[in-house]
Amino acid sequence: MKKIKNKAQSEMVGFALIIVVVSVILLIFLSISFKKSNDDITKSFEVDAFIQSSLSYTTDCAIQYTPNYYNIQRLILACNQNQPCIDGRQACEVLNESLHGIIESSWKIGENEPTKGYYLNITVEGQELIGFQEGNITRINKGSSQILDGGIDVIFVAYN
Amino acid sequence: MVNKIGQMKIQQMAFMLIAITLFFVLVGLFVISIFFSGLKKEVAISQEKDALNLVSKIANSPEFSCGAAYGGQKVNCIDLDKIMGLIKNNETYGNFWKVKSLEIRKIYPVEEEIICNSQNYPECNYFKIYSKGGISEDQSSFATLCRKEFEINGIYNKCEIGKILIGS
Repeated sequence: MKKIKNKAQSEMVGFALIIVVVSVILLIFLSISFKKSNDDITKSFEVDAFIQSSLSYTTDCAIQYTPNYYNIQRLILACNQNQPCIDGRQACEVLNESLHGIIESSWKIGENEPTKGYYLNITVEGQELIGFQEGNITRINKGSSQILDGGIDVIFVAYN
Repeated sequence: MVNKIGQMKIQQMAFMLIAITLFFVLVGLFVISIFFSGLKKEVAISQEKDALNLVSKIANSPEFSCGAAYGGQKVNCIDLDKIMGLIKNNETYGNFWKVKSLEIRKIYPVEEEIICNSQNYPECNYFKIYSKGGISEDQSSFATLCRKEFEINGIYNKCEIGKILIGS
């Protein structure tokens, strides 16, 4: 009788062990999959088109003479070289102002809006030139990265 | 006594079977949910791609595109001077693109909405190219809106940001 009881106990312990091991594996798998979806950026053609249009936008910063107005792409390089506009403002000042304006009017963020937040980062030859983020960062996102002449790398992510 | 032990064994096995079945059902549900969440994402990306393809097809057609007039070939670049020509002849071009409506809106710089016509251009921001029975905005994409701007010292290329809206 005692032998049978002991056998049943050991079977129960074995069963409990299996459940614990499987649960731990499942938890590890879950945490990895959630972490992965948090860091991943979903490639978006809409954001791609947005970056392309933004880079072509003609700013009101003329360098050296008028009407030599620089677009955002050229202004990034001018900002990197600390060039001033002909009206006395700094290229970086105009670039920052223009980018904020473009993003605010293109991606309206808020509780009732489809976009909850955004993130922009511009680097030139690996050095961060401009980077800002507004609103909430959520797990659902769409973004794009573009590498341009002069070592410019533009990353924009919109969080839904 | 032997009968009781047998009953216990059967009970144990039944519990074990139920537990294993439940476990596999849960794992299956988990796998299916992951699979379908990926599928939803794929569908959204595919729809976005289709919309952008249609928009790109129209934006890059010779009637709209900037061509090489604004310093090199640009993708999704719309020549606003051409658009004004299209608006004037929208009855001729009406059915050319096989869409219900076709509009372009400037989104930056932000201004009060003014519908463009030959009298107020370029001091306007809303280009209604074509509309067949109401306005719908099924598909849209960002586009660069370029035109030639005149200043005392000369002419330069002015590009702004807009959205092309297509009702299909």
